[in-house]
Amino acid sequence: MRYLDLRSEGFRNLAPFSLEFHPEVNWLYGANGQGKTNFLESLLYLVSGRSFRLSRDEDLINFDSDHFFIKGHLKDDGDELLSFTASCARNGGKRLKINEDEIGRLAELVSLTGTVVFGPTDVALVTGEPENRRRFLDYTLSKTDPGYLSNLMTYKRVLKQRNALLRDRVDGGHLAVWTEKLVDCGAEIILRRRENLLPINDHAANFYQDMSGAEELLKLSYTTKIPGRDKVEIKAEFAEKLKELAISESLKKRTLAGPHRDDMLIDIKGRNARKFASQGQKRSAAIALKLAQAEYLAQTRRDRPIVFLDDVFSELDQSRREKLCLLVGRKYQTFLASPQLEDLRNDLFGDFRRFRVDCGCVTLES
Amino acid sequence: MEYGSQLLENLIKRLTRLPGIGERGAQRIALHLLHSPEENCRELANALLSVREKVGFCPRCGFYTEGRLCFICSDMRRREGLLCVVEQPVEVLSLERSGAYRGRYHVLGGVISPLDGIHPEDLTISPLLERIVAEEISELVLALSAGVEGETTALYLSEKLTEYDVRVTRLARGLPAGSTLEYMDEATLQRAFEGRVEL
Repeated sequence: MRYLDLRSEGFRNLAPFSLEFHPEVNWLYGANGQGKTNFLESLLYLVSGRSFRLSRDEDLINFDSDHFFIKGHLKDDGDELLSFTASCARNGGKRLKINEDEIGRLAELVSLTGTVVFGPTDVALVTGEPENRRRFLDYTLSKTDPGYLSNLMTYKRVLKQRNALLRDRVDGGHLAVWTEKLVDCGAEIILRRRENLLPINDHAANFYQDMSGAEELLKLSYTTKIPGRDKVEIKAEFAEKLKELAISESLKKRTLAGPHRDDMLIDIKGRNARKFASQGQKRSAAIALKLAQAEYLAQTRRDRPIVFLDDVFSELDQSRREKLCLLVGRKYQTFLASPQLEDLRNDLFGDFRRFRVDCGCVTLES
Repeated sequence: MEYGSQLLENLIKRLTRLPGIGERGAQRIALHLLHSPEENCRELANALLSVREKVGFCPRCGFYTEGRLCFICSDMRRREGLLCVVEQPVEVLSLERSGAYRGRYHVLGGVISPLDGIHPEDLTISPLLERIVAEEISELVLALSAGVEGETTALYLSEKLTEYDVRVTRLARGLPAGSTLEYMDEATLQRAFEGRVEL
């Protein structure tokens, strides 16, 4: 997918604008607090129906306005033209349309466009809690495997119910059925995460070598307490594990094994990157993961994702900046935001469009 | 909003507490009543009171009734040995309207949901088991909602029922009547495939 144009009114601090974009690189610059991230947010909102910063819809409306309205045209890789419209009024009237037809379910919208967002806090993918890495896998798989998301939602619901039961009382006589349901959905999640991690790993290893320049090997592996070759085996192991943990679960009052406690281990040169890698290695690994995500989305969806780089350069040295730009710039439509123009050499990309963001005004410069 | 009468305002406020009625709808109903003959209002008031006083729940199946057994439980033309389990009495109405089913019902009173503090003993599961024996039920149709809680409750019931000599079925999941495949979500299509039938 790529954006052709975007029109916006009443969104965050942004003044009304109507802009056309470059098919490859669109570079926004301006001091902090001027509206660069808000601008990226409007682009992401239109194709996903919600704020990537998880703000409430009403909070996206400009203080001086009673509604916002965004409309944009996009083309997919088959050159089909799509028009998206999103609007929300302060009294809660939210409307999302594709080609002027109002959508029934958010999933209709979300499934159309792949997006990869990379921001300054994304190094947490390597350094942070396992939650970050599970979210990375879940997002990637939800976008490429149609049944994954609905199964994941079911799993989360069952997990919540089972935890509530463990919290309120040891067993109301029905823990077994919640366990059965949990094991069924959970085995599917573990299996699909494990299978899909293989191609993601290959992409990530390649990108990591590109980024680091050295012969350093990056390896991703899925870590779980629940082994098994196929779904039947995983189910049996999962059920067995929960049986073993029954006493601990009744003491700790929550579910102690399952895909919600798994992790994705990132090794560099055979060592756990979270513990032993240098700052530079960690940043390169985080970038490699995001690039692998983009590549994997492009290949499995047969449609390239749109890439958003929000203020990531300040964290990177000059050579990593340039490599990142070379790796994404020509491949995907990219929106990158940075405080200064000098962050990048102009000659990195062939042709690109530059936008200046100042006090909420976004203007085309070249 | 100022209506010029405390009584009128009071009525409107009470009407807005009813399901599906907003401020504007409540105002419309209240003003309509205000302009109708006194007789009509009295009848409406009486109707409200007598429903509350005289309509109860069938001690056998849990559906609405004025007397002892509801009209379905006392209907001799119903197929014997067949029982359909639903969550709430309102679902009996939907199934009756469809005309697809001619057996009797059992209202469970909800589904198992620890998050809402609802456990098996809060539902009418023991009376259901007693009925299966007493009424010599040969088939039990589970017509519970398709969500996580409905499915888990169905699973719980089916495991409870393994000791009983009764066939347990549940309603099919799949394509709504008159729909096209194009607009179906993946989960629905998956279910429809799993539940495909021989022609």
